[in-house]
Amino acid sequence: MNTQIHKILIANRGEIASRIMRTCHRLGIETVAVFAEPDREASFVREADQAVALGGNTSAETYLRQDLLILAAQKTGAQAIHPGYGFLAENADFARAVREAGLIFIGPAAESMEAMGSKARAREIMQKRKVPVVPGYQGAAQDLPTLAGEAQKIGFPLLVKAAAGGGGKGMRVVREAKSLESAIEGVKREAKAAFGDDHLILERYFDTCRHIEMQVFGDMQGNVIHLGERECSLQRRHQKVVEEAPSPSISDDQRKLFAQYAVQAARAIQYYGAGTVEFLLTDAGEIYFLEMNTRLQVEHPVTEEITGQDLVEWQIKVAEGHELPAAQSEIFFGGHAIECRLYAEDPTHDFLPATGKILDFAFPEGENLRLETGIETGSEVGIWFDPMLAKIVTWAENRVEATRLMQYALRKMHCLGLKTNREFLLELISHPQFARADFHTRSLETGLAGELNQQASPNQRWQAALAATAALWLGREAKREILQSIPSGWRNNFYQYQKEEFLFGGEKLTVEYRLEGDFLQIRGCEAAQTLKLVDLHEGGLRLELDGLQADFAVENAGDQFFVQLPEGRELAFERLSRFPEVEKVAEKGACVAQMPGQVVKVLVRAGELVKAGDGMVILSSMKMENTLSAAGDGTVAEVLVGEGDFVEAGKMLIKLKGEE
Amino acid sequence: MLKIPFYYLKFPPESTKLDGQSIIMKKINSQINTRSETFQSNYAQMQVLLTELDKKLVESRFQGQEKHIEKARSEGKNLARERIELLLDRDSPFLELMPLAGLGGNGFGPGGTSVAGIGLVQGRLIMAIANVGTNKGGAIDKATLDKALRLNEIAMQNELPVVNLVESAGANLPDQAAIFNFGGINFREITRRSAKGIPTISVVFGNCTAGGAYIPGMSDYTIMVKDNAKMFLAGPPLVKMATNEITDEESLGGADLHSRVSGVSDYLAANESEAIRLAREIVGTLKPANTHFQPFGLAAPPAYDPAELLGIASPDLKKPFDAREVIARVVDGSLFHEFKPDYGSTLVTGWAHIHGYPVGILANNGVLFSESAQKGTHFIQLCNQNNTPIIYLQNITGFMVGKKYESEGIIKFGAQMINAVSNSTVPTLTVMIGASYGAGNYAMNGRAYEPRFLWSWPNSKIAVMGAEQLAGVMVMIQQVAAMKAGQPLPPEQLKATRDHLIKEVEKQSSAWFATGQLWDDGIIDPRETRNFLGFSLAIVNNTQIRGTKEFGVFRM
Repeated sequence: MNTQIHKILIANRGEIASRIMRTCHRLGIETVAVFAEPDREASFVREADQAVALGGNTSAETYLRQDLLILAAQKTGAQAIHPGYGFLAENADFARAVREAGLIFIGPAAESMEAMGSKARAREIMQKRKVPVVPGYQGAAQDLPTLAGEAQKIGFPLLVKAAAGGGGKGMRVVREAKSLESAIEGVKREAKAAFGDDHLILERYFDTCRHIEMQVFGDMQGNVIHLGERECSLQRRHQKVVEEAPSPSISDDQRKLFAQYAVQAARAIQYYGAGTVEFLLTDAGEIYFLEMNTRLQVEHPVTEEITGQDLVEWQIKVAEGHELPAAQSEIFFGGHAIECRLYAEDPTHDFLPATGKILDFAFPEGENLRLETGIETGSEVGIWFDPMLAKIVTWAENRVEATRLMQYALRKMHCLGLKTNREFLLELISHPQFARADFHTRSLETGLAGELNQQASPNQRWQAALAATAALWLGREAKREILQSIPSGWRNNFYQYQKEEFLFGGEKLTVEYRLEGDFLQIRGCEAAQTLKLVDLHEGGLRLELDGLQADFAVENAGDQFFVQLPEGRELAFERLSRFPEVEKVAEKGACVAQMPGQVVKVLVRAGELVKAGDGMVILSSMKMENTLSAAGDGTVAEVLVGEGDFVEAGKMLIKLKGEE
Repeated sequence: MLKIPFYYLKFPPESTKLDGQSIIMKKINSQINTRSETFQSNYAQMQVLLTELDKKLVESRFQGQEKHIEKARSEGKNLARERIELLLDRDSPFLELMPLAGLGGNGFGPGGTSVAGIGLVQGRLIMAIANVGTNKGGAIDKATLDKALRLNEIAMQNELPVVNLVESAGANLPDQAAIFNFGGINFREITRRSAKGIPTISVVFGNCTAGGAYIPGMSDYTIMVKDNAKMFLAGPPLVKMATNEITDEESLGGADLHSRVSGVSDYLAANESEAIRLAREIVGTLKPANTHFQPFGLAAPPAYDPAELLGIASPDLKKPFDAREVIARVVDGSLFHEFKPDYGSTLVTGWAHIHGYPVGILANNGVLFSESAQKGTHFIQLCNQNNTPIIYLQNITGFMVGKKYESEGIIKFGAQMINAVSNSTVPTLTVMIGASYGAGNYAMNGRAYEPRFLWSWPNSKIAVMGAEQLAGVMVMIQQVAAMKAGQPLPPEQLKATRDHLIKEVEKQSSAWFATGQLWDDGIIDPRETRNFLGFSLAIVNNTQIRGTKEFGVFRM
């Protein structure tokens, strides 16, 4: 009994909502978006045929509200709900509630989700089906002594995971027994907040292994096939960073084994819909089942690129009750696809999440270039949701060519206004180790990481300063109403050059310039003596520096400047005012928010004595918790925030009376 | 931030647009042969003059001896020119006025002890005047005073807010006789402008004593820099002399006292930079200018290279050049609508645009005849009817003389033109591009006829008549007198007298002498004529332009 779907509500946000809508519209299916208030201006809301305001800020108030989502679907006449990934995508209760409301849930059976959603149960099922699992503990007893005892049996390092977790959240590596307790507490708290379930499992942790996953698909008629594997070993804090298909590091024999285990796993739970079976590949070549994700994965595009299939379309067809659109023998694999995840984070400062307004977002066009994003120029990236901004996908005949195209895309695109990992990605995929596929799941936290995040050279800083000067100059020229036809900075008794000053970290660069005919004569600058403005277009400002033309992207928010050089290097710096503020003496020993976020817990009270390194405030930003510690010994003079407060970056949270 | 129309990148723009309409006028057809000997020779001679101009401008930028400059720096002070640069909007053009005032005199050097001009602050036209405190303590010499008086006129006529950047020891005492009386005009004008709603903002950077104290004292807004600025009617030594009171500068008239206690100052600035920022903020709060007309967009440059003006203008005033060749290198697109082209041909009249501003132009093309004077009179009336500013390109050896011309009443026609020039109420700009002799100077709107601005090319000459004619006349008169006395002068003596006179008159007719006397507002590089005029037009359009129909009796 097939039901043709005409309207789908997408119970998700951002890039995946846009992605799903694209397929829907191609198929002639209307779409309904739902949105939290911070997403009101987001592109996915506009792209939907209809959109329903959920009326809250946090995930818990909006995208996790099953009742509101079902109500929205009923109100708009949507026949089906697509959960995307994350949020309620693997929530069996939701799947059940949707179906009970007479709607189609685009995903697997609730039972499958429950079977796999609990990592504990999943392990049991796999063990029964002779799919190898990582040694670990998945019992119901969750008290600390039991967990501690099991941990001793498994040995360290081990992984504390939320049984309901996924997407890198709710996971911590514990290397020594003494930090087990705090890790368990932390994971429980995160799990409770993110998934509403604080059940944990423990697993043996491998420092250097690879993460290989298989895309599987099943239908209600009992067919299960696989669509090849994805290599997702390049991760940081369990967040995938670069994914590719096919994996460059497995043999054909291993590939067959992975496929066999994956299909076996899916069959074990009569799986239908899109699913991913994740495996560990140890250095010794052992394969362990890790978990099964009963949803569409973030990195599904690489599979689409090498198979030529639209997985969202497959999901819809399966949900409509159709058989799989293709049999295993009809799936062909061609070429190589790479996906890089662009995050709002600062790789030079321990990948702290970044927030802010995207002043300029641009992506080069190309046949084999694919962009999946929910952001655009003008978007605000807040503290509310995941820091992933975009997925950049390239396809080519082989890995080397796909890599080259990815390098090109990362150099040419811009996302200016807040710190992103774009340059980090560019350096990563340009690294010889990437070319050799010589990496494991902790490469980005160990060896390889140290070789990335190159500093900008003095010449690059000068170029950025020149580009900013040119943009500022042009902006002023365009704004000048009186004396428009008099040359900029015209003097009949010339005395001094015009001047712009910038601060790069601690270094001050002064660009001195004077308009000479149709170019700016530059003085005292390492990068060029003449600057000519050639063109202003989408790609930025085309400048000719000493005869060499190239495109520079320049954006600013007040005195904060962002410049992307032609070679892809991005610099953020400050423009110095001509009229500097009279300096204020900085407060000593204060605890200041490094990024915007929500105060989870205040750990100290006024009058309390603290020692350097003592935690004072736990701040949650982008769903990551960070503990801010005292920089030195002292007494808490004043607590300026309370639990639940939202704070901006730079906000003082705790005042300390320091000891000299 | 980069949402900027592409045309701003074009140097120069491809077309002239005014209010969306293309200007429809005929392009002047230039006849200049840049390879000709005359052109080459003119060019070379003009370059010598321009080199001299550069040299004199370098002198004008002298801001005091190194030790005084070092001392100022150690006190956290900027130099006068730096203060102006900081006051102006970034990239703002700045028209420095009378930079060579006092040139050749025995004062404090060209420009005196002030730097003054017009530029943009917060996007609006203002006049900035800075005392050069590091040169003679910023004491006022005669040239500096004369310059100040002329600046007062310019500010009043064009309704320009004035920002004074004050640091002056007051009148240069040895010069007091030349300065004292008319120095009072400075204070009178500040308050007269204020009465008309044209504000003066004074920023006090250093000592400001006696009369000097009234500059900020009379101003609408006064800012003082902490620790450095001081204002008092009499300094501690004079106070001691007068009342035997012993005091120090800071408690007598420091910035703190005046800002917190006396109320003489309105703002206490922590340092110079803050003081200038405050002045800029104040400008931002002023009511907008009563602008008459503001062109939209960039104007088309002349179709002919303005650099060719150097080869066109002849330093030998006996050799005429076609005024149209000058106009062609000054006006937008070289487009010129000539009025009465076939009548009174020694005066070229017509309409054009400069930097998008509509103008009427009167330019000499030889001596003035009765017809040319009549044509000029007619044209001036038309410009008044149309509220159009007038530009006079002055290259005139005078009115035609001789029996024929006297008998046709050339005096009458000259008088008509001077009547029109005198009573015209549209703003006028005069450029001395060659000769300026005799009644021609008057009929062509010389300094006495109060053009809003008067600019001189370095080759220009100004006098009652040419040096040779003057010497010739003088020698002739002497000889006649001598012969009457029966003692004719020997030819050697006549020649010596003649040569001496020529030399003296030549010197006093030069542009250098003229600018030193402030007979103009500055000597300009002919290639920059267009920018000077465009700038001047923006300034005269800062207020409403109303022509007149009221003239004196035209003797018919």
